[in-house]
Amino acid sequence: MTTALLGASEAAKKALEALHAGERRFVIVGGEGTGKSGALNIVRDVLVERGDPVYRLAMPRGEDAAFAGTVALAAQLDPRASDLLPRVLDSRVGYDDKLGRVACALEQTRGTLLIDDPPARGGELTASIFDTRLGELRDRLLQLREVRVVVASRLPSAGPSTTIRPLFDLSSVLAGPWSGALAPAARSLQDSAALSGYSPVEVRLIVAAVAAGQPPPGVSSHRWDPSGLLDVVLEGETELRRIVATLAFVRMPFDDALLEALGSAALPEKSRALLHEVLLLRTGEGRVLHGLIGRRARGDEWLSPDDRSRAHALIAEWHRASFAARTSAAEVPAAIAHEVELVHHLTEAGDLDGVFAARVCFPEQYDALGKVLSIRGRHADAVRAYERAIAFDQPERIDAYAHHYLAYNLDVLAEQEKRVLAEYTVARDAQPTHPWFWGRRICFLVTTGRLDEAMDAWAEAAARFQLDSGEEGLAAELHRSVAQLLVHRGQIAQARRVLRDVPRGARSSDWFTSLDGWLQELEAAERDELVFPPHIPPGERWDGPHLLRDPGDAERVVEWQPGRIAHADLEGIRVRVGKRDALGQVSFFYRDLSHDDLSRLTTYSKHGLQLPAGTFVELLVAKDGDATREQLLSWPRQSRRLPGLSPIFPRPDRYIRRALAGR
Amino acid sequence: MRLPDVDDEALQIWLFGPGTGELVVVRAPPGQWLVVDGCSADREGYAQRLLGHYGARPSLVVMTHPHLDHASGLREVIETATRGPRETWPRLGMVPTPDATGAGDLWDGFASLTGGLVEQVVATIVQRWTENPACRWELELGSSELLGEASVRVLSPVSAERVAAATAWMTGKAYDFNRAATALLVTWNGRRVLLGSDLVEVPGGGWTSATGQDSSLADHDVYKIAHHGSLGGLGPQSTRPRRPALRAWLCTPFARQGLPRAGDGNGLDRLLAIEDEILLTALPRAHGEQGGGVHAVSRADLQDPAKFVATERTSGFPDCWVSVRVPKMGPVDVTRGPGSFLVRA
Repeated sequence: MTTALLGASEAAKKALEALHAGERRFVIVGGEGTGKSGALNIVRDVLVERGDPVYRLAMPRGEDAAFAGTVALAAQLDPRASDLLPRVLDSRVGYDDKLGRVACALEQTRGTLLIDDPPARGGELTASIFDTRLGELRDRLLQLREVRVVVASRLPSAGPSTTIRPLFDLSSVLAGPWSGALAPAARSLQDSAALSGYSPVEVRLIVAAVAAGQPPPGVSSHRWDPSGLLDVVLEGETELRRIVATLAFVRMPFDDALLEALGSAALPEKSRALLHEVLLLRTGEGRVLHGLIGRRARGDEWLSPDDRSRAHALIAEWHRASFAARTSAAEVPAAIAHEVELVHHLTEAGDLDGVFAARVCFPEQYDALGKVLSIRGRHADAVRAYERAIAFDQPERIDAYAHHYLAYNLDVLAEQEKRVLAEYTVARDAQPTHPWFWGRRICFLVTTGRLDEAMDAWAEAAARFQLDSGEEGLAAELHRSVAQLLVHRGQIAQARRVLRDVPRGARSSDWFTSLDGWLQELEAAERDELVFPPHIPPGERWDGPHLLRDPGDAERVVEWQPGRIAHADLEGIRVRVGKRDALGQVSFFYRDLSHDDLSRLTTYSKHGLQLPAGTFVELLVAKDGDATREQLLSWPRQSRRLPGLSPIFPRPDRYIRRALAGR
Repeated sequence: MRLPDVDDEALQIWLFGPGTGELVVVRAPPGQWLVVDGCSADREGYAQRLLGHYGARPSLVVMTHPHLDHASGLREVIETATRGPRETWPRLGMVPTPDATGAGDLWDGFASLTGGLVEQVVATIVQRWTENPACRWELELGSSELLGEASVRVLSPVSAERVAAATAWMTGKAYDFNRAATALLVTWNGRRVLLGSDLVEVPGGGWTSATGQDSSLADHDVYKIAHHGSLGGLGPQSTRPRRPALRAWLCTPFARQGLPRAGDGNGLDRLLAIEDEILLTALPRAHGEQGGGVHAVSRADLQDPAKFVATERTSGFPDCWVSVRVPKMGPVDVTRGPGSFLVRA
């Protein structure tokens, strides 16, 4: 099915005019589904027809995007630079070297480079090795002097650019071919003015929705959105949905062999029509699932984690077979592309042995494998993956990421303490600009009872990361985790030190407020002045009593003693009571109450009352007619979450448990 | 009152208890030091201060059980003492059932503080055990260590309580860890110092079991009274000796539990029925409410809390302490620090 991309044609024309006028850079700006890729295709076709060298880079998803992209470029360049591809595929060669050679080879072509959706610049301080490599690739390509670069991007550009108009020839979209119920549905929509403004993929989904019995646009004022259309089209289509969800992970055009492997042949006719005529696009290289549909399938997690692994494993096998076929046919660029994808999908499947057996061209691909395994809780396997990456270290090229995460995964397992510290230290020293490489090391030292050493390291980190306002995110990455652990371990002075180092701009954040408040409670406990529960805001604490069911009863109260039960045993309870005098001076004292006292002061029976330590109580003397009556109200333990803070992971007592369990 | 000088002709004991927390330090000739548990006040660890005062390095450090009032201030001692070469490290004693209940409790700040601090001390000990197995001392029942010319022997816990404590720790079930507290007997030239920790007789019969290690626990020169003078701490060790003897009985308070209790029939009453005097390091109050004087009082006096409202606060370390000098022969010498009380019936 072809679509006349009217808007894309306009945009391509403007790009070509700009290049002809001598512009070295041009950006085609447009949102999702507006035809940017189509515009680049048109530019490519024109340049090829003119005999100009042109190279295309479509940035794939995934952590290996930089590596896949570098290989893709090298494969396109290889006929011109015969030693380039072997070097790019050699895992012993560093990424800098590879990228430099690719860039050099591109420069020599003096051609045109077309880039689909280059990565945006992200936060640098906490960038992963994958983001860093992607940034390096992006920067290197955009700095090419002898090469003209046309970029298709969702982001506006300050330089020469055009914004693509999402303008399409709907009649060609509606022309099909269609089968079954889709055909009359499409016919009914011909000449429908209500389709104006919909993209081609949306139009195809509308055809399917109308075929399924939905009222066409224009009948109601409701404007379809793609998500809604997709839900309607796939309602009841469990198997089709599974196939689409699997295809959403494929990063390049595919053939019928993959569809057969997924079981498409067993679909009912109607479902097959939906698949081939609505959801998939046919390109020169094969079929693709429209990006909008793929993003939805991945984002909404149509597959469970286990099914996702199986999907990746299945796709990997298709790539393996395709690689073999392309190799036999001496189709080198295509074979290499399948080989890169094979490693990607084996990684996403968590197939450690599969990746180890494959040809891995970049040590960072082992880092990607380690990340997948670590996230899935397979920490011992993650360690093996990072060990593989580290095996490629050179004195001038240390994979700090691998060293750090090797340490981290051992740390989670609470194994090999010495090695954990050594690896954290290597990572920090190799990349001292990364806050996590400091923070996790410090947390490890605290966790394993080396507090003095941890605070020395903190002093070093605080001096290095002199934070100004605007770096609140960094404080969240570095200060929060360390402070939270110190508070958990009751190390008040040290926690205060870390919180003092938090930049002013970050002190309004939820996590800071939570930690500061929690620390204040510990400080009160340390002074034996902890009376009020945390749910009562500090500014309201002395405005009690707080536990009366009827606030109107407060008028009858002549004496109020708030307290927390410090101890409870067979003899009774001991309450730490707070008292504020008329001048606002607060004092504290202990008060002992026997179980007989409790029976008298509460409505509970002597044996039924269970008031554990920590319970908030209020001892009240209230007027009762002409007399006064004393009573005790209590508020038991409440559950509590602190905004901005997650439970500490890994659990702080893991080394203790590992060392002492089973004794 | 200043801290006593060291004496190479005597066994010396220092007991600190500033309201919450208990620290016992023993020096045995010719100059080896034992630190048992720890206490803090105003965020100052007393054990490290004391060692610093005497320029001492501990040979043995023991955490008798994982409660805050016995672990506070120990972290600093252990980290300082293990900075040098491994052969200089002290032996670190802990029964490996390190309950840190309460760590991370978001409702009860006191539980969070105590649990967290204990967890940090335990982590500190465990890390040193891992790095230097020679310093590992699991306080096995009946095991002993030399402390200069003296010997330190473990009297508790028995195996069943070790197992019960370990099970409770692993499963998170409730358990009274005082049942698995470590009581120690320090002997030197026939002189005996019984350190009762928080070992209780009720529940669990801890002291009856301890007599399995030494049948004459009541025969001692100095006794650090078990569990802050509670009724549960009374046992065969706190009975009259077989032969009349002058004994020094020392006790630390525990403010949050109001121990020792001075009422009729309570701990102090029962103890004073056996021994004429109890040396209390301070009153069962917060440290900020302790006074600066040295007092001699009756048990009846202590039943009226208003009687001892401090007009002048203690000035901090060294305060709330009692020290005993045990010579090779003859009566012991007692020195009391500011905040302490001599209690008679």
